[in-house]
Amino acid sequence: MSAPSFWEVMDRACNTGPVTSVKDFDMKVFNTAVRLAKEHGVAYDPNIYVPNDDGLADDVWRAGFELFCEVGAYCLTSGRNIRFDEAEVTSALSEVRAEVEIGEGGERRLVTRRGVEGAKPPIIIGGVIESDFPEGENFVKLYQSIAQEPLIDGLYVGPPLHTSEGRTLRLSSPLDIHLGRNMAAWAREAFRRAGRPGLHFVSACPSALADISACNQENGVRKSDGLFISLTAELKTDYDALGKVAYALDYGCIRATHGGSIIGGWAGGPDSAAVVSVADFLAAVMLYHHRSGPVYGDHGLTRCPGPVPNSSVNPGMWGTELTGQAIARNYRGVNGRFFLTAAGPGTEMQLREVAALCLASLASGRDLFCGGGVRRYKVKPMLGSPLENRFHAELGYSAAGIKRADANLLVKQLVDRYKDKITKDGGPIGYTFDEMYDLKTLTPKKQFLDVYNAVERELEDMGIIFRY
Amino acid sequence: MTAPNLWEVLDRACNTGPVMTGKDFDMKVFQTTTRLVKEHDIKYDPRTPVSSDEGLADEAWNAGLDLFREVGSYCISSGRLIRFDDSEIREGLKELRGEASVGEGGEMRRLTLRSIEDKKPPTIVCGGVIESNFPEGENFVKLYQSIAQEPLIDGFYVGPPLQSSEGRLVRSGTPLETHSGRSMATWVREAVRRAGRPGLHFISACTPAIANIAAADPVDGLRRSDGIVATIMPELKTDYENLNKVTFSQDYGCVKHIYNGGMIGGWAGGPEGALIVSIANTVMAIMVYKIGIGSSYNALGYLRASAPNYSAFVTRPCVWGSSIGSQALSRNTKIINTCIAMTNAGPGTEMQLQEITSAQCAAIPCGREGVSQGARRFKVRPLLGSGMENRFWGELAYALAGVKRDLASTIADKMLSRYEGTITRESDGGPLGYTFDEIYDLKTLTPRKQFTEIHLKMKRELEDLGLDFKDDPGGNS
Repeated sequence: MSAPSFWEVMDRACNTGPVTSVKDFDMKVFNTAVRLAKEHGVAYDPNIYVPNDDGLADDVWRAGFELFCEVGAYCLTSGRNIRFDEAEVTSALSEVRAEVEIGEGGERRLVTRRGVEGAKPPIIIGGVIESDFPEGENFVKLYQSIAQEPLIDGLYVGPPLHTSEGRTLRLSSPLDIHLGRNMAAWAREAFRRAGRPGLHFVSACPSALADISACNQENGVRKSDGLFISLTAELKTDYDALGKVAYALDYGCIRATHGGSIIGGWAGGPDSAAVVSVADFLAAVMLYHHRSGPVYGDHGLTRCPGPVPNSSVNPGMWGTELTGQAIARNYRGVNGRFFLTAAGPGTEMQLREVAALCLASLASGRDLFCGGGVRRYKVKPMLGSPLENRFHAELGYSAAGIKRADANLLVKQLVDRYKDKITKDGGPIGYTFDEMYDLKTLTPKKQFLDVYNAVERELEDMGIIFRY
Repeated sequence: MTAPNLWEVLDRACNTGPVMTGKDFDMKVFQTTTRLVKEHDIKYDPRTPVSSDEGLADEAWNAGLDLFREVGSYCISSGRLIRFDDSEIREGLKELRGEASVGEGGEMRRLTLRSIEDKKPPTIVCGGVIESNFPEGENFVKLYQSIAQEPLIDGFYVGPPLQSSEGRLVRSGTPLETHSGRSMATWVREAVRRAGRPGLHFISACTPAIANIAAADPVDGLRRSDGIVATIMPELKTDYENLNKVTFSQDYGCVKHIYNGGMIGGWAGGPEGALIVSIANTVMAIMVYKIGIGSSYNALGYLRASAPNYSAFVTRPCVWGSSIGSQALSRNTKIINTCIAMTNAGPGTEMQLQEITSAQCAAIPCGREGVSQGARRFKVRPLLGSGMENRFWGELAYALAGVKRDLASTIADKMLSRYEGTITRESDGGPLGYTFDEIYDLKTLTPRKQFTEIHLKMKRELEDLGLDFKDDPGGNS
């Protein structure tokens, strides 16, 4: 048999799936995930950041597969459970394509599989996640400055958060639509100024309306660009996300899907959260058609609990690397990883976090560094710059081929240097774009280049040879 | 000063306008309208379905302007009033350019102003069948092909298939509806290609904004020479769905098409009040939907009845009010304004053609620039609609160019006297009519003899009443 079409999935999500309360669904996810983690021997080891156990990676994959077949996914808008049987999921996984093309003209890139401990460099999707950049010129300059980094293959672009035409923005209001359209036009303007007009980007507006409004072959989201589509923790979707998928399939652009689990919520502890994370990925395969057509994503994340959902420390890193390996070993398509840091831009701590995340991701077989470059969870406007994007790109190229055992040792050393600085609010806030860059020439200021070079030296002392 | 731009309007609608309950707003509309009817001495005259009283038209305009100035409009989604002062409204009226452009290549049409009793033919004949639940795919394509192949048609209104998308039940706001909007636009492009008119204009009338926005595609979807339909809800109301359509139209650069009139029997009151509200609706379209910015043509300044079939636009009081609304807007604004007709009878019936005639008598001789949205038998069963009533729709609009209002009133009176007694609740408005596949041979897309005879008979009757259906109407422009 073949896997259900997207329209059949929509029928289940909108019309025919059994109606259930979200609380009942959450409880079922929790009970089943905890049971399956035990049954499959998935056990968290706080001393390991990058697991090196193929058997464990396959076990967590099987547990996640069973979890998804048992509980399915949940549509928050319709209150319906979207279920699939084992044969449907197996069939869907057999449809997976192993590559995707992004960008246009001279900026066209073919994203292919790297595999666990793969020697090939990853594709680098940069950006700064929703750091509330103001509308207009500064927004353009931020993305221009990232696009001018030569190792960047594409960008994640979230819109300015608070205003549209200087007016307060409310979600799904007409001002939101206009902002989505503006954002895409500004991104294209940024790439033109950087001399890379065909550069790929992913539009990450929260509402489907704004993302769809941004689509335009001339000066908006092109078919070589993508829409960012998230699953909601745990195993949930809604009409906004499904609407983005429906439109992306019709328009023919890339679907950049994203998901993961949160430790300490309905996913339970680190062990069962890893199981949920795999199931969440399978939800993307089945619901978001994350298997055929132009698609990539960042899945297999287990995020630490608390106000800063980063995974640059344990238990988040252990689970994320384990599920990353599970997906790399059992799924034939490409999968990426996005980096959430506790510290802000321009700080040594953020670069150390980035280094730990890069090394772990490379060893675990992530094919892209994607979905937003580096993020200091939003605390004030204009937090984000090209420097941290440059750092993760250069390290991504330089450390490709690293073994999991080596990565684990290096990551441990790095984490030891910052783990005690992670507070409830994350860590040092860092510096804003205009503090770090001369906005006339779009060049970094000396103080921040010094920080950059100092952390690079640290990594060289640890054995990394920078190729750029 | 200049009129508030769209972003300022949206700020008022979403953020800064005073919060009010819908009920309070409705009551204010009702009370103010009732007072203005008296103050401006507007009285319904059933003996004159098409008025020739230009003084009355100007009174109606002034009353509508007063109404909008006093009450503004209301955003249902935010519960906020959207108000404008007198100077802002004056500036808004100045934005109207009196021209628009639709379609591409050989199908490009330039819409310009007409005056009352103008001999110039209508500058747009926009056809269509309004939301008659056509099935997805081939039959949908064939319907619009049958309309596009009518030479007088300059474009058409397209509502999506109502009930299914990829064979699945469509619920409003779901991803299946988003897909339906995109599919619809692609099928329309296929229909106009088959008809040999690939640049033909259409207006997309999906209910949610997201489905219209998903339909936008300069290659095989809704192009910039096409349009998006947004409505004003009774009375003087909008919501985020409609504002989203307007915002996207402005960002994308496509044509705006705004419609609605005043509803008799609701918060507008009787025919006189509904006439004033229909004028205020027009001012709202100018100020809130910014029809003066970019290309737009509209259907404003008309009346609709609330019973027995709420969509009926062609009862006697509706025709009377629409004739005055047409003249009020023609004399006092540079709006490109068109006629729509929602009929009580269905396709393939004499009664539907009579109803179309009444509606157009209150429009073309009264200064409207054209016709839009086609004729509609309010949806009662699938596949109601065809190219035939669209053919009549275009031919009649051309035949009414240059006709005096007195003659139009006589013809409308004659038509009304034939069908108005049959519009009852028991008859569900009127005869259902025939479906597309009953009216047309779907292989050759030609109408069957029974229906071409009805069409010819109606034209001969109207010729006997004084109209001239020219063989080459375009040659008389």
